[in-house]
Amino acid sequence: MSIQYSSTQTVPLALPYDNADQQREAAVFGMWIFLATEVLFFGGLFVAYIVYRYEYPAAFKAGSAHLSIMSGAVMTAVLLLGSLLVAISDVLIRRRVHDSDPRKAIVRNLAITTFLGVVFLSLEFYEWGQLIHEGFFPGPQFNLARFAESGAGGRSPEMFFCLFFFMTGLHAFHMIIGVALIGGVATALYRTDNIARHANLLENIGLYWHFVDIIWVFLFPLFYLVEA
Amino acid sequence: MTESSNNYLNDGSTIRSWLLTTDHKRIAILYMVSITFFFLFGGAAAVLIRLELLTPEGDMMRADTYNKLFSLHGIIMVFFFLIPSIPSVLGNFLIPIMIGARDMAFPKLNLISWYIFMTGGLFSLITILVGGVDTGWTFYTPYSSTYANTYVLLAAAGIFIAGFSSILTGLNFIVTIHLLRAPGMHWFRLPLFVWTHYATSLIFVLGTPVLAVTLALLGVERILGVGIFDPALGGDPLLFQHLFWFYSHPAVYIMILPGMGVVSELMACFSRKPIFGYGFVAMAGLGIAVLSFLVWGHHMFVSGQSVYAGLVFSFLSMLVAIPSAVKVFNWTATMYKGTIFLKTPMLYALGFIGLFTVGGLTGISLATLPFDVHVHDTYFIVAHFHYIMVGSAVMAYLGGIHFWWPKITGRIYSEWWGRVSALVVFFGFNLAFFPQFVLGYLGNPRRYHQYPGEFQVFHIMSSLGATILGLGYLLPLCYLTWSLKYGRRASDNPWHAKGLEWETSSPPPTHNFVTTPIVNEPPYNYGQPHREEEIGEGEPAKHHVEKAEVES
Repeated sequence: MSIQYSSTQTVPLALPYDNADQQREAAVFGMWIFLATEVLFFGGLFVAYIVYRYEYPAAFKAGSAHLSIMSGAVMTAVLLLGSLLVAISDVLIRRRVHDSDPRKAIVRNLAITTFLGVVFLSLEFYEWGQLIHEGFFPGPQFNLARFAESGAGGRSPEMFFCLFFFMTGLHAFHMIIGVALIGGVATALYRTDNIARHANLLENIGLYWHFVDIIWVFLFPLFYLVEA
Repeated sequence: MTESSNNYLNDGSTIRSWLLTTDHKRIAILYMVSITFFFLFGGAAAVLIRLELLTPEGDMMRADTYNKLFSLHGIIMVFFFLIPSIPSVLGNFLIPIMIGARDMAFPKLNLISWYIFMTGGLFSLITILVGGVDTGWTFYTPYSSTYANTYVLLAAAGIFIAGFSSILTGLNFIVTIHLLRAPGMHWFRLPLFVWTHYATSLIFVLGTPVLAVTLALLGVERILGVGIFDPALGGDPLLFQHLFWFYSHPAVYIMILPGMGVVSELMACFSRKPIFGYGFVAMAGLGIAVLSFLVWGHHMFVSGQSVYAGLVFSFLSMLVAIPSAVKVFNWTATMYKGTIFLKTPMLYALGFIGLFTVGGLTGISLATLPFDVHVHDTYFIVAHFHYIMVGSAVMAYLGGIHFWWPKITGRIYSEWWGRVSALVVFFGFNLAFFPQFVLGYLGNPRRYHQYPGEFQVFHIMSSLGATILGLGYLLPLCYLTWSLKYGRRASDNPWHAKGLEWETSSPPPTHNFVTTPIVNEPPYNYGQPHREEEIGEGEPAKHHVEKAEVES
């Protein structure tokens, strides 16, 4: 059996646009620009990271030793797998001719991705909990004594954890939004009669999801893989 | 076209139809009303500052009150008036019409931008009501993060929020300009107003996020008591300045570039000539936007950055003079052998060129390291950036408002009052700020409520000029408002100008054009001579003709 979807006729056209292609182009282009602003947003933090890592190499080495590489690696793998599933879903929803109804596969992929996102966040929250328990949360109560032997001077280890919590925190904030969006679009696709209606939505949410993944791909080595 | 026909203004008159509108023209009006309100707020602070500075002693207020006033003045004027002024009002109104589109690419996002802007503005107003902030608009650390005991977090939150309004507006402009141009409107037929807004939007989307994250770091530092930017706790205060100026220097070009776009339109229209060197003027705008990201270090010549960095930033800052001069020379070349009509918008445009030249040339002086060290943090700096940000940017804003007022409202304002106000603004501005160059050169530092007695004469001149300037700003508020009810009705193209916005009715219909226009001529295709009496007048005659037709 072959099922045919025509995406051009089923997407409701908004006022400014002449046709569905133009509307799709605008949506995707808008998302790319938004992601560019996000790159600059995180960019300020990466600059701060570079400055302080250059200034306090010992503190970054000592701080990184308290992070679990294993946990970080699992989190990375979980995210990359999720991105793969989203990418496959995006290809499926755009394909005009299918051997079977692609909806089932797409919804399943996105549901798994949502679950993987939750796994990522759980691992991250667990690690934060551990670190906070050990007194590594920045502030006047920061457990500087743990770094007495490390050779990191002053309050510099606090700077490492400041950046760690701020950058992973901001990333987690994006992840929470991402999980909600992926879960949302999965639900919408599960309910709709015509999945082509949501093709632009899925493409844009997918772009966002990949972006959040890429940020993590930089965060993981910068925090977890500082030379041991 | 009479007002009884369908236009965006009479398409719904409830408050709801305004507050929930997605029509870019109505959103522009929402912005216009909001930023006028903020302008009056920031202006009131300026009045108090200039009053205090009439005498050398601090007799009207205490030092910390003065600090709060200039901080409030800076924050409100920069973030809630100047940055949104031309882009959010005129840009919002005109860009879709100028390119022949029905609306912006993302109409709902456009409305959301306004709500975000107002939320940020609300935070700032609350900051003022609960006690203000005294860090200056620059929020330099560690003063702002560790020592200031005023409402830094609240003020920073307001700016953080308003920043997202800028980002979304810029995003909307870029997508709109890329994808919604009418048939035949290819890139090099775009009005220069659109080109400069494209350049401005690039700064919006690439610069503003950096300011946002910088303010977020400042907030974290203040809340957690950590030392990201506090040297006492291992932080680097220079990092804050680098990040802050990476946005805030381009932000100055956010204020001036759209003004350059307005002036390009006015020059061509009131010289009755195509703009000289169209391609160069368009590319100069992009050049300024690109360079704007490479010059932030000139704010930090005496902050302790390396001398070598200072030298590079000095050189790069001087490069900005090239595209800026391209624009100024091309405007004057446009006037050369043109048929010049000194109508109100043109007076503002000419004022812009004069003030921008002074502001720009002193900018080159300041880019020179040794001279900057001499006048750093003096009134010379204050005068310089007011020539750009107030002299030029506000002149252009007012010029644009006057030029497109008949299109926006369908009414003609009093030309006589318009010319008077343009002259009053120009005269008042120069009297207010030129003496500050002298003050700065003589060594009067900025941001103090007291000063040595020998400077008083310059401060009195400045305060007098500021009073005249304030009057000049209030005049348009009066006669433009008056024209809404009593002004003559405007024809579709009262200036006999070129550009798609003049091909639709005044005010335009809800979706801008009845049929999508097709562009088949180059930009600024001026040529037909007009008599001065023909320009800028209402068309009562046409009104009578239509009436007569109905009667017959």
